[in-house]
Amino acid sequence: MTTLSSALHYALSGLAVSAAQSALVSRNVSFAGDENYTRKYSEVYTLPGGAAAAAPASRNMDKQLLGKLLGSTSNAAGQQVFLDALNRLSATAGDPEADSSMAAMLGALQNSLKTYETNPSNSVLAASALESARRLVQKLNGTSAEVLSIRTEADQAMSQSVEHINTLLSQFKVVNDSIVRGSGTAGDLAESLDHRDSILKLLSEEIGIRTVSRPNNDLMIYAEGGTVLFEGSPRSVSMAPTSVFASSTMGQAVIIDGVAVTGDLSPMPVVSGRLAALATVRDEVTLTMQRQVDEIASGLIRSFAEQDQSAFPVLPDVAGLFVDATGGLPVPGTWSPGLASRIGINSLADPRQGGTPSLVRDGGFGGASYIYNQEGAAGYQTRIGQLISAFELAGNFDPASGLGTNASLKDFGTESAAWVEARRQTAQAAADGASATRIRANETLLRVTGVSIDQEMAALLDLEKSYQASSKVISVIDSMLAALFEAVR
Amino acid sequence: MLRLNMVPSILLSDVSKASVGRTQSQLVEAQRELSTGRHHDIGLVLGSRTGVVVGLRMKFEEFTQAGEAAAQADVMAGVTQSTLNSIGELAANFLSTLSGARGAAQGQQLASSAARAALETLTGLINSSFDGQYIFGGINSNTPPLSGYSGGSPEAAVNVAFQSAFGIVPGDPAVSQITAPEMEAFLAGGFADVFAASGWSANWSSASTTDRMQRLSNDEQIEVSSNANSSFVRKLAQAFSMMTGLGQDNLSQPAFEKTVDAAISLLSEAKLGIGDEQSRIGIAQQTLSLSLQNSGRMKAAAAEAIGAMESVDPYEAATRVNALMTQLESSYAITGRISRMSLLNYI
Repeated sequence: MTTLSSALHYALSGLAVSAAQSALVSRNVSFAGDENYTRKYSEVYTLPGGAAAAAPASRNMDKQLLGKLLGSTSNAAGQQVFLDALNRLSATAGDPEADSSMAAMLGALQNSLKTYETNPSNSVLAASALESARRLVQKLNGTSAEVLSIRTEADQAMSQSVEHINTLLSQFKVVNDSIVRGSGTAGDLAESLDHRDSILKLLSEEIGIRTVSRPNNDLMIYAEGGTVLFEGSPRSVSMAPTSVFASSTMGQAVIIDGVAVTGDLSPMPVVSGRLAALATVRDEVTLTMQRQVDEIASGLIRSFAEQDQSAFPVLPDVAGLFVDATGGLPVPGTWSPGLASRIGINSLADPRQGGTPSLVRDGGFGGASYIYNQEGAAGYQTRIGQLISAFELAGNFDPASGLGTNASLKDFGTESAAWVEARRQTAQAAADGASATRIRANETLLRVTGVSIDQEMAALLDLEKSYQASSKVISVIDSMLAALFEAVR
Repeated sequence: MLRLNMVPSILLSDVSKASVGRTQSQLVEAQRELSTGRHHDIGLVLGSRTGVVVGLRMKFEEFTQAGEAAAQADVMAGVTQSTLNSIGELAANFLSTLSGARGAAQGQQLASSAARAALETLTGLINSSFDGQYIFGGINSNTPPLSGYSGGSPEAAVNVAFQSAFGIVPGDPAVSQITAPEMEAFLAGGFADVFAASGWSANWSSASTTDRMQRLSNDEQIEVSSNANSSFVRKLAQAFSMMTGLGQDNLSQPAFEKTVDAAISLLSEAKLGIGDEQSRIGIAQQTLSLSLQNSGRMKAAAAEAIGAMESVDPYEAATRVNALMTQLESSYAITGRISRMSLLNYI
């Protein structure tokens, strides 16, 4: 039989529900500015006996949208890393107006030689040609060093990324374990689920991932390509950093669960996320760039090499104005790693090292047999003319440098500038696109999960009304009971 | 529960933040483009065509250098021309002196001193230099090409030849015994050998037989200077020294007349040679001025092509700056409005 006291009980349960829901509203409002916070709500259900109760907080989440966000986050993060590296490579050439690219400096050296040719007896012109050569050498050394430092930094960043992934995975284990334990109990899992999703977002910046749900809210993480990152416990992710990078050093691959996920030989490659982009920067872009710079150095040394000038030449060709610090002449069409960092001005011609710049005119870097200016004329032009033409001759370059193998030295230089900028243009467009996609995916997800303060306020008005109503019921029952007590007195 | 699909509060502020940031950076770029007239980031805008711009800029520098070199070579050719003019006048003057001296009393002494002076003038003219280079030196550009006659190796060579032909030195009074046919034979033989290629290089000239070349482009070179080894220089030197180094003071009139006849014919040949040389250099000057014009045109064309690739349309850039500023202002206004708009204000 329903009694006044059970009516009072219902009214009290209404108050309790309103209080619980107000608490949720308050929680929602205070976290309204947190991207990782999802809006919490609580369903009202009827207890056996008829009283109302608030269920543990549930949250708005859409797994598909979250998956999209994770994917686009990986992509955007990777494209940005790639773009940053290309921006740095492009900065080595600078604005075409500044004439600071390798190509422009090649042209400047050729022009200096042409001016020298108009008056080969003029030692000022000889010195100025030598300075042009020095600037070119410094440019090659500098570019090579910059390329190498981009590679080294990419390797370090990969190692940091791997460390970060391991940290995130161990955090993920803690949260995931608590969720699995709490599933099926009446506890409030919503916050833990939010936390777990936020870890996934961070993880996806480093590496492309896919998740698979399992019973009891358990989650399994795969890396792109299919290697398991997390299944109950984190799998090992490792990469041995290379402490000293040389131009030909190949960085170590990232190993997940015993399988290489970067590099050409990877059976299960990861293609998006910072880690994959860094691997591309380290193993492909910078390597190709290094090859190009080295080929320019090789072309220079070979173009300025001297031949035996004896009546019956028997001696091998030797390096002229430009030398490889380790000696010898580079082999045409074959990559000599790091040549651009070793190329230098022949000390015999360098006034700073006590040399004579006019050796450029006369030849003879290799000794008496290599002297071109055999009559010793101060206005000897033939050798300078040969050097000028050398810039225009087909250079026989390494095909793996990605540029024309039969380009002239000058054209090879401009092609290299074009190569970087073409990649940068594509990368910028890709990065812009990926970032826009990520922003849209995030917006779409936020529309589902985000908190609207207006909505919460409106809900609060509702709650206020129902709280007032419950209170009213209590006061009415109170007066009814009072009337009853009055009657029985 | 019915989903209300209200826009989350975080989104409202996020979207305006993102759009303001983007507009601001675009505005900075557009302003820079407006002030420099070039794309804010050439490489990014042109991509693979950056190589073309770099190449064009190299071409521009190349034509600048070619223009400067051609202009300088033109000046040098002008100096050579006027030097050749002076040499031509020297030959003509001496020719008239010679015609006068042929029959005149004291003619021999007159001719001899005039010839010695002419030799000195010739040496001075041939040894003229420009920009530190001896114009007539060939590629041996830092040595004066012609040795001085009096007391130098040329006079010694003439004396040696004279002595081996007649057994006496030119200053010997016995020179008067030399007959006209003997003199004629000497002039065509031992004396002429002094001015043949080997004798000339040994005693007179330090010029290189290789001529200086002027580069017009990467694969085009022309010759704009003259050379002290040219036949007209040799003939002039031969004519002058013939009139001063062969003992003119004591020479018999018939022998003297032989030398005068030979000198006159040499001078006439030399004048023709000078004319040829002048017209050769004239042609080179014409080529140079064509090349100068050409490099100017090519430079302008390269600059234009660079401009076409690098430049932004200033009107477009100005319009863009305005549009972006308007957009930014409306963004600010909207952000302000939205942030004030809340249900909280009404409950």
